[in-house]
Amino acid sequence: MIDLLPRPLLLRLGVACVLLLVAWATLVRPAHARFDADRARLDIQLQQVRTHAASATEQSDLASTADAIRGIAQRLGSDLRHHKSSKDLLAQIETLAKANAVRINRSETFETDRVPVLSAEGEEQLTLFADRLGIAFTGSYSDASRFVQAIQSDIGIVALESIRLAPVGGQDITGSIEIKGFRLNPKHAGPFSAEAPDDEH
Amino acid sequence: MSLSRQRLIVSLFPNRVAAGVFQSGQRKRVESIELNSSDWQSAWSSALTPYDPALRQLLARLRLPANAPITVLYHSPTAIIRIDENRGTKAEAEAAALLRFDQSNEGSSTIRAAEAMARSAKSRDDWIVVTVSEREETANAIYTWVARCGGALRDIQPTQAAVLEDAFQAVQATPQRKAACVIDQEWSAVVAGDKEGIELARIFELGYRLLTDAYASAYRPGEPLSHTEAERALMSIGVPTKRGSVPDQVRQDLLPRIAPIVQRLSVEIKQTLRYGLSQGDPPDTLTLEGRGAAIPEIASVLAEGVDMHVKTNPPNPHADQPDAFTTESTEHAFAVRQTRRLALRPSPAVVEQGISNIKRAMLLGASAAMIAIAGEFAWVKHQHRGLDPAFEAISGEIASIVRVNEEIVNASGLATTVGRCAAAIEDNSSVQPDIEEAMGVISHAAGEHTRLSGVEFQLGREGATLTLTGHAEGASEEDAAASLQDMVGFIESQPSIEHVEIGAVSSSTGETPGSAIRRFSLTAHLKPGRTYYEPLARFANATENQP
Repeated sequence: MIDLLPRPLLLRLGVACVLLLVAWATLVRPAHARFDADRARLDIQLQQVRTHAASATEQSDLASTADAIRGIAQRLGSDLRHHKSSKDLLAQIETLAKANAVRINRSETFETDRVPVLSAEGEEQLTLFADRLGIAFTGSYSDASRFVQAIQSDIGIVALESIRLAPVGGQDITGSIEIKGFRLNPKHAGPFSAEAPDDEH
Repeated sequence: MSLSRQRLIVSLFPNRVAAGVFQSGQRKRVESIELNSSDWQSAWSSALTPYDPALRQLLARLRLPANAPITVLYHSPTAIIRIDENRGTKAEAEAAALLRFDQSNEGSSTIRAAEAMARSAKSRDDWIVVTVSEREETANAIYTWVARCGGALRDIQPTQAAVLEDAFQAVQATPQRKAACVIDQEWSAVVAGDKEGIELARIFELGYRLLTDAYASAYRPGEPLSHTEAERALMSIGVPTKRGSVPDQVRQDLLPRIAPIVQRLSVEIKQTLRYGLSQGDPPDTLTLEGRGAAIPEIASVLAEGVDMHVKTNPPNPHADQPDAFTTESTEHAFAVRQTRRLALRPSPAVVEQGISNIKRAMLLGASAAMIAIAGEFAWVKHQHRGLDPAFEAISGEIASIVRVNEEIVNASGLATTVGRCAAAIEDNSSVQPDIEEAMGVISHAAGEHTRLSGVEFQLGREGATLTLTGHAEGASEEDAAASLQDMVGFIESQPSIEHVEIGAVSSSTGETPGSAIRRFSLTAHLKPGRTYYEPLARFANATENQP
């Protein structure tokens, strides 16, 4: 029977089928897809609402944790900006020495290390500088003790690498310490960049 | 001109082609053109091409639109009609008739139709089935003729089938047993029986056209009448049995021509009834039907021949007006009949109708599909709109959840990044003990009996140690040892100390007589101090170690 049908009729039939298919594909199918997607989204949201209502305590804990994280990040960012260079770090240590009645006999700066920080793909690379210093000092034990503690706690992120103390007679002791003071590379400050100063090593 | 519910019938006879428009059984318009009957054979040989102008003219006069559907009633040179008695249901009887016809006409290309016209009077299980067939080339000639002239052929019917159908209808119209003879131009049919059953049916090729031809040649000596004039004279004068109806000379010329025809007709009818009726006597009355029944004196002449009472329907006052589709004619009966039972359809018309049906089905299908698509689209949209209130109801809670989730994501990202930074600091630093506590330990360890000569913190990646060197004094060896032991015990008891290892120990005498000095070197392993950023470093390390 198909052979008997004139070609224009078959052509029209084909065109009509194509038009119907196009109409279905461009109107109905996307409408179905949107409806299905929205219904699935609604189901998920309803589930989220139920879960959310059932875990109010957890939400509160999560909020506190997020606050704590932000607090640590803020503090770390601030600590990593406490000094701007090796000299600056040394100057801050000298200030601490004065404040604690400790006399600095000798100070030495070493080459600054670059400490790369692993980052997720696509994120800006974060780099830290580690300023290395060696300091020899003299003072009473209690003053020297406060001085060393202040170095560790009052001038940003400072790591003590070694400490040697020896009595020199009377109440005084002599001491030598080696430290690493960490600071941000302002050009690669990562999550701290918004607050990073423009100064460079 | 609208052809809805209208029928356009074209009748084709050797002497005339006519076209009529009928609506609801009423004749609306009729046009006809006389043909030269001598061209009849050659016209069929030329696929009716010589009749093209006539049909075009008729269709133009009727102001018909192009491709108007047309049914053609025609005097067929090749049609075969066959009457069978078959048992079974109506459909089975018709199928059996067709099968029998096909067996007897094997090899010839024909189109055919079978119709069980009535029950047989002999057996209530039998049907009288009429089978009509036409050769393909004849049917196709009519199809192309109509197509060439701008029409669209719907179906065709040979006149013999229409005449026979008329005869059946005449008998079945009344409950009384009767015999009817339909006399048409070319064919006559005899049917006997009643409404319940048919006793006989026969058709033979003998019509009133022979009488018309006799009038045409003899009515006006030396100047033959046209067919129309001859038919008008025939219908006006009829069989000139009585003196005075026509001039004597004309009567003398006419009667020898007419008498054999009427006699032949009488014999055909008489023998049909005598040999066809197997049950008892023939009916008392023979009813004449068709246009031939309107011929004056035909009934009385036939009555003498068939030995029966012959009656005709009341005379039509306009019967002498020769016209196509006149009321008594088979053409008219065919045109006004509601069902066309023995219609034939040429193959091209069947194909054309099939294509037309497919087109209509396509249109319907496309419309239905469009409606279905639109309906489905509207339904989906409606369903979609139904989601809006639900979304609206939870929008506040969802916004809150989104905020919390964003905070979690942001905090997690911040924790990871900052944690990596913290981990980098820890990885690049020595283990940091609690210096304040360690210095306190040193301060307390150097007591009254213990002197320190060296303090050294060794801070490495693996751990932090505090090495103390010095000596313990005592009044005796045992006191000095006890002082050292006290100091070690004190150091070990401190929370920042993991354990203490005592290294080299030596004893010597003190400066005062009897006193003792115990020199020592001990190493205290310090617990690592905790930085505020350590939890984030651990978090980052744990995140990186996740698969």
